[in-house]
Amino acid sequence: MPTTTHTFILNGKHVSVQCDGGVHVLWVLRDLLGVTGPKYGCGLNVCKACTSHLNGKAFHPCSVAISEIKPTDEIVTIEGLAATVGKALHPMQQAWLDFDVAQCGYCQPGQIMTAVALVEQVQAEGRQVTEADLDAIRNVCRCGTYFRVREAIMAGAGQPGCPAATGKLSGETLGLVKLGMTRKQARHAYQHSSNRHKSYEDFFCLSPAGVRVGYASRALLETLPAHKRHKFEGRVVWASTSNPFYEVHGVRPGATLASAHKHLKLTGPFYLGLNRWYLAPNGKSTAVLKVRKDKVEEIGIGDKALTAGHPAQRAFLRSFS
Amino acid sequence: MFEHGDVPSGVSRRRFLGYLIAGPTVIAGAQLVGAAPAQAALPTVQAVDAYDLSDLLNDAALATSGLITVAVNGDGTVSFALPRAEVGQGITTAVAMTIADEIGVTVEDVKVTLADARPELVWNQLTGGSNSMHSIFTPVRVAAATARGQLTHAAAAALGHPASSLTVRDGVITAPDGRSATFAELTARGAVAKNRAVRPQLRALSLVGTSQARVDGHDIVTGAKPFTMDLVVPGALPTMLCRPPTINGTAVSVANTAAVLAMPGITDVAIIPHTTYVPGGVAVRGQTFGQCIDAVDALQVTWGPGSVEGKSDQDVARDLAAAELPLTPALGSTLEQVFTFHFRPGDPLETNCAIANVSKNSAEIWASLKSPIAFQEQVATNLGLAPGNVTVHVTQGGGSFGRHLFSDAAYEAAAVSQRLGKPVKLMWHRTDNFRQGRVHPMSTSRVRVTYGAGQVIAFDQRHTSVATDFTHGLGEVLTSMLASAPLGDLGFAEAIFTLTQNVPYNFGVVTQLLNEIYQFDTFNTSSVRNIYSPEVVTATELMVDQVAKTMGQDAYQFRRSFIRDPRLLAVLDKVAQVGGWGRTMPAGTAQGLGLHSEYKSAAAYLVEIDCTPATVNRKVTDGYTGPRVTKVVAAVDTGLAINPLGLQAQMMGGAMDGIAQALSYSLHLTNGHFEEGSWDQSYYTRQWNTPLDIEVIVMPPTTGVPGGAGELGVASSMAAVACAYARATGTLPTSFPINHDAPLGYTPYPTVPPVPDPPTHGIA
Repeated sequence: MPTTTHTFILNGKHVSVQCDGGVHVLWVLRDLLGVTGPKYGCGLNVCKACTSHLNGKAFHPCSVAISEIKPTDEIVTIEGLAATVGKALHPMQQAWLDFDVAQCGYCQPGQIMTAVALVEQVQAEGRQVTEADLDAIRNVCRCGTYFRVREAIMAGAGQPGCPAATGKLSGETLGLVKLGMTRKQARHAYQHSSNRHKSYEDFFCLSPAGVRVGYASRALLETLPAHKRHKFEGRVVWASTSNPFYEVHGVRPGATLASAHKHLKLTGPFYLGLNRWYLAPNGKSTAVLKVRKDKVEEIGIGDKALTAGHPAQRAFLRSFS
Repeated sequence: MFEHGDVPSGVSRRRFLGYLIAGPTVIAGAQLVGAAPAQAALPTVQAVDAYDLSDLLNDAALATSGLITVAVNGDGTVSFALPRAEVGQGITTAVAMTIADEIGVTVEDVKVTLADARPELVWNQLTGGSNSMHSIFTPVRVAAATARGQLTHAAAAALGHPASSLTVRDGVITAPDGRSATFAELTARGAVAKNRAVRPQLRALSLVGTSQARVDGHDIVTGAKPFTMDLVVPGALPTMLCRPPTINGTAVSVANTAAVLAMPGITDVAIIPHTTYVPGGVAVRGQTFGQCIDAVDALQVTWGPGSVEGKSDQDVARDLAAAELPLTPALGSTLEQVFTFHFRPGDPLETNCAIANVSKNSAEIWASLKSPIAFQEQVATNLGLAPGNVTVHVTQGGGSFGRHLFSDAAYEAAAVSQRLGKPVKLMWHRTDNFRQGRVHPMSTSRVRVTYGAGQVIAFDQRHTSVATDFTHGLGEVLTSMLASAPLGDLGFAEAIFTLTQNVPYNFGVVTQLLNEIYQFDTFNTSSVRNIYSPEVVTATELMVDQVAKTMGQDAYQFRRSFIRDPRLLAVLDKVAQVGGWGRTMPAGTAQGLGLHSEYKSAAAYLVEIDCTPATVNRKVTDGYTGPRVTKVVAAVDTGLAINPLGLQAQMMGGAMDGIAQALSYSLHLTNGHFEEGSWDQSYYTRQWNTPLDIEVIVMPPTTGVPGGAGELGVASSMAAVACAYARATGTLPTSFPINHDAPLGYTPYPTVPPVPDPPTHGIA
């Protein structure tokens, strides 16, 4: 085909490029425009590593000639995804980080673009993402991140099935969970969950900001006298959230540590990984704060009986890490 | 997490020195002196127990570990050029965590880059054998501790307090009176004018052992992480090769060079001969890869024969059978079976690729390389240049699985660039990768178990394999190290086999022998993830189940009573408990167990499989369904898990590999070429094959030294899937993957042209 000028809208900007019309869009993006987020994995419309969006729907640039693209067509690649929601990261990208989905990362731009298009399609149909929807995803990941891809999509979907944040954090209640609930009851209250491979935690409706619930681990139970263990076994002993809709004594996620000190009688810090944790009296429960770089990231409540005294507090916090 | 003082004492038996290195800021290096590993004393003692591949690679790395340095920059951040490849295994994250923890900064403030080829490191720049963290953990800690010690020394002078009273956290050194100084303020003061040795104090670790997200996660999800083909090198235009119709064929002549040169965008056409290092064919260079694909399809090439002309699967099977080493006569009742493992692709999703700019007197090359020093020396020889005039940049790899131990695309890019006199950005087509790429060699494994009086008296395994190519850096390490390793004079393959394989049970007299057929380059092979272990362990574990059944014992209890490694027993017990071993399952479904220890680590898998017709016969367009593994429970003990989250990812990924190799993933050799040409034909695990439930349990630290993890999960998960399949169907599978002998489920692409026409249905 002769060399001609092709114009279209790429990640919100008008672009034009000169090449023969038979060149496929993937190569126009990568080789002529320097947009390298879409990856080459087969060039056969099989591996889906190049998945991007054309007018809001998933398409596969390796298998579309540039001559098929009209001046009014809008192409969005992974580089332009966040801007479509006016944020630094699209919720699906955040979910990918929350679940630490990637390994080498080569397939992940395509995986994320597929996931976003899937969720938008499913929501347009007025239903939720099902296992069958996930089974139908064709993107190849040779590192084998498939399971975390599934978890992240469920979270990143910001599922319609997720109950709205109640904003209720008082005594022994945070949102829809209450200290002392069984795991089954907690999972019933929030249907969409992941354990992120932690045996004694559930993460409910994680993205953008859900509720994390901790259950009494074996290690924690072993700190208790034998006759007291049964009361806590398999029960919710801690719940927390990074949703700023919740507050404990005026302290919301996002507050500074200094302001938390003003409002709460903090003990700590307890160092766990990159985070510092603080505890404070909160009536029927103990307030639990996760702090990173002097910013309160999560607020929550812990069982009062399990957090009396420094050694117990330390054992309590460590039992979840 | 570790309490203060309870860091497992893995480093204590090694003496270590740190070095302060002259420079404008604090720069610290580390050198180690190795201690002899303790001898094990167990009823069954194989060479691998006392001295394994990890030991060998570790000892190879020790001599030059002193050249590993960390630098504290003027802004208080810490830099480290990692002499290893990052190919998705998460080593940059694990190293950043280790440095951050030991020196006292946040992970975000540690900048880990991949080092260019550094010949002075000799053997210490090899990424293989799941050895990276094992070999580099302590040197990195020592260098970081040396830097921290020097900064503390500078802070003591600045703050007027003894060094012992200062605390170091998040890049700030604080005195008891609350006054503090930052790394940024101290690094120039701590700089030394002359190199000197010091004895650093390692400190208790708190970040190591906690789950941390990947350091490159943000760049990955935004599309910013640069892989080789994303780099911009001026003038390096897209380049591809038209490849032969049979394995390792050679281009003889081109009938239509002028016509192809006249195609849109094409700048060059040239024959590149097939050599030991360069796969070769006919190179085309153009403005876009799309135009290169069109040119490859248009070329009319006369091809010379390949290296396996006319051969098919059954020919190789016959050659393997003829080469099998004999068993000695048995002294008791026996169970005996031979298992066949077909060729499997070994490639990551990123196809072979490299950028090269070769001029008359020098060359610069960019590629994901796991043995960059060996590559640098050899490519210099190939190009007729001095090694010092060849700069080799190690780029981020889009997966590897052992593939990047070989540098085929980089050799090829250098050859093409030299031939054309122009820079090239060379990439293989996916179909080329399947048909001409490196594969996991076909093999058979015969196992005979001799038993009586409730005991296993002898276990004999005769593994026969198409030769595995070890002529990369790993092979050179072996050449150098074998003389001093306590193994005697074994060849490469036998040495690797002996150093890695073991039977983890007290089975009396154990013999495991390897014999290979063909030359190393008859087929293009590589030490694909886990090398021999997936086959050897799958054969072993299937027979363990058979013996248990014959003796009327439960598969789990039988393993418990014969296992000879307490760490392996612990992970077995863990998966049995968490996975609910022995629960009642519907007909056509079953559980299976698999275990394996290697790389100073131990892993066990419990899987559940669904072989019911409703599942097996699911229809997915252009996809293979078959039995589905519905649940995976894994337990892993790596001695010390630096980053449990990254380790869990490795074990999940290993299981996806194990599932694929047991059930669906292979290549069919027909008349000198492989039939498979796409992911819809080779049947690697896809979403519709993915388990719905996966749990990975990371065991608490045992040895205190990080063992290998990257390959560990493949063998034991493959074995578990095979065992589960046998139990669910009541049929012992003897040919893997189990679908290999069924008729092809697709229509193969033609071999000429070598690359299919690009489809045009990319808009749904």
